[in-house]
Amino acid sequence: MPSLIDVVSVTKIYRTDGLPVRALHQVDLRIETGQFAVLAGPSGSGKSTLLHLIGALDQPTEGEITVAGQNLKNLSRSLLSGFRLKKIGFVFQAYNLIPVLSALENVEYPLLLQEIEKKERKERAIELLRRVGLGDQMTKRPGEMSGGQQQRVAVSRALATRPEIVLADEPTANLDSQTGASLIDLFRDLNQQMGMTFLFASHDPMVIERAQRVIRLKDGEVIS
Amino acid sequence: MKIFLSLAFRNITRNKKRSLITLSAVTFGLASLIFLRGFVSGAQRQMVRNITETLTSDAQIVPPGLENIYNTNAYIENPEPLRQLLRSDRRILGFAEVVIAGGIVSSATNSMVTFLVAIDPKQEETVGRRRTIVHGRSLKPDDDYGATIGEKMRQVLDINIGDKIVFTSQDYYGALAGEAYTLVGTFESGNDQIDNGTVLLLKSSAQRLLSLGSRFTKIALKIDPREDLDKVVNDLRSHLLLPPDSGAPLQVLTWEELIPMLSQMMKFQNGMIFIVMLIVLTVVASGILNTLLMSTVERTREFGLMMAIGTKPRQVILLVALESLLLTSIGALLGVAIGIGLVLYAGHVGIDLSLFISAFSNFMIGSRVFPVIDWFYLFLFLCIVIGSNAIVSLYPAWRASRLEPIEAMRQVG
Repeated sequence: MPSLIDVVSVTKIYRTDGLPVRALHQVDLRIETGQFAVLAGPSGSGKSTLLHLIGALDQPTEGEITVAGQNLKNLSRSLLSGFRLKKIGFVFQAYNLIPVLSALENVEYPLLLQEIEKKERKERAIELLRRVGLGDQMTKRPGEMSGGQQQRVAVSRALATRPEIVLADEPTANLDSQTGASLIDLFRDLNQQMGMTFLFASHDPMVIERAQRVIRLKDGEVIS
Repeated sequence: MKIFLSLAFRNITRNKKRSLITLSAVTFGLASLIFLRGFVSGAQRQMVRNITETLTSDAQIVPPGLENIYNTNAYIENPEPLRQLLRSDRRILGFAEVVIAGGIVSSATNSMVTFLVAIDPKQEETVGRRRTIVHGRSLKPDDDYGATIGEKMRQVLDINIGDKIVFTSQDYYGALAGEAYTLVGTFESGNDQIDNGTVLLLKSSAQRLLSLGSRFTKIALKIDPREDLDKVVNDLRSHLLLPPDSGAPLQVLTWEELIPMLSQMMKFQNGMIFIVMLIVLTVVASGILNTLLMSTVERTREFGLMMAIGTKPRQVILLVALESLLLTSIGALLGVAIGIGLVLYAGHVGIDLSLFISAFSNFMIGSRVFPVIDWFYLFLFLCIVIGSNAIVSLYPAWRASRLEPIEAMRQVG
């Protein structure tokens, strides 16, 4: 199976109060198309950092990352934005939605950036919101929705552009266990039905249990 | 674009109180600038109208040397070709031939140095001189030995209507000349110098007194206000370079050239308005900058999210700039509406300045100023307010666009 994500000898060093803090060290990782994988590990293990590097939200200090055939090194901020828009769907732990837009508009937003025509945009957004069980919540703004509902809107938005990969950073962290489980089940269904690649960063046992592949990190290194 | 416009609009309605305060600053800043400019324009227009109607006319044709308005020692020798030229130009609504001389006016008890201004009442009607008769009446064409004087001069000379005055001067040939005239009226022009120091006679009386024949001192011109004064004057100048049979070359001077202090004062006033405008704009722009900075700092996480899901940095700049543009445009439109409303209202009822009239009576503004809408300045203020606020918005917009998505999303609050 072709490799969708290729992480080669990636090191990430942050500077905190002028002191270097190593978040990742010589990480090598390959993820194939269609995988449902989780980056697991305790807090500070570097799983979120790795997810952000793969998602072109940050640049490695050393090493190279290729995602969907695109080497992310030396791309301008604008090109990185364009890359994220076309290739990646994001679901974050919290604060996932634009507060002044309704659920439907939030899902439509990346499609607007992609200049998808109105009819198709609406159809896609409505279909996705129905699929995540929010067909009757489309006009609500994030402030009027529960955390679980907001996460489901974020999932719809992440899928709206039909990205090659969906990255989710601790997607269940702010949800109760039942809502969290149903969200992961939804991801799994979408993965199986649409063949979309999913990569999570999580230390939630429920998420790890449901993953097809578990990549364990400790102290910035992949241990299994 | 549409989504960013919609986002911008929703974002400015997020913190209604803050947006309202900023909006008010733009609105009242612009409205006060428009009103101030309207007031100054109204006062300047009144001043120019009063001074051109009382002192200078729109322009004058004078012999060399008489560009100094206190010099009276030169004459237009052969006026007929000039009259034909002026009558043939449709842009010139009227002209009045005037004799000016210096001399002494005496009553039975007092005497004083004065200007003699001699006019043809019918001609003068065409240039629209304004003098308010205080006592008696204006000069009539058959008042060969009648005179009117400024009311203030009458008080100094201590005379009444019907009393005699004697005007003494030097005639065309250098000899001393004097005649007695009956005071038929007194006037008030609003200008102290005129009201204290002018004896008004018929042109024919002055030509007789000063042995001038058909000569006179200058021609006052009334030019169609729809025409460009400078262009009309330049055309006349080109015709008068070699005037056929008219003697010495004549000069055509606009009111601005005749009283340069007046146009300088108007330029000074315009400069002052610009300084006030800069102060107001700085306050308004600071308000906008403050609002945008607070608003963008508060939304750091949101900008991080937007960029994480594919919004380009230039689209973030566009969003913040649109927020500023919307806020400024709404405020500016309200400001223009309120400013125009105020100027129209004050232009209708007038602003009573009688309390301060003595301070600027010689500027001849009048005791009531009627502001007018100055469209040029209104458009200029509007452009500058919107333009400067658009520029000011670039800093917070640029700051927001430089955020690193993931760092921004980690921000608390």
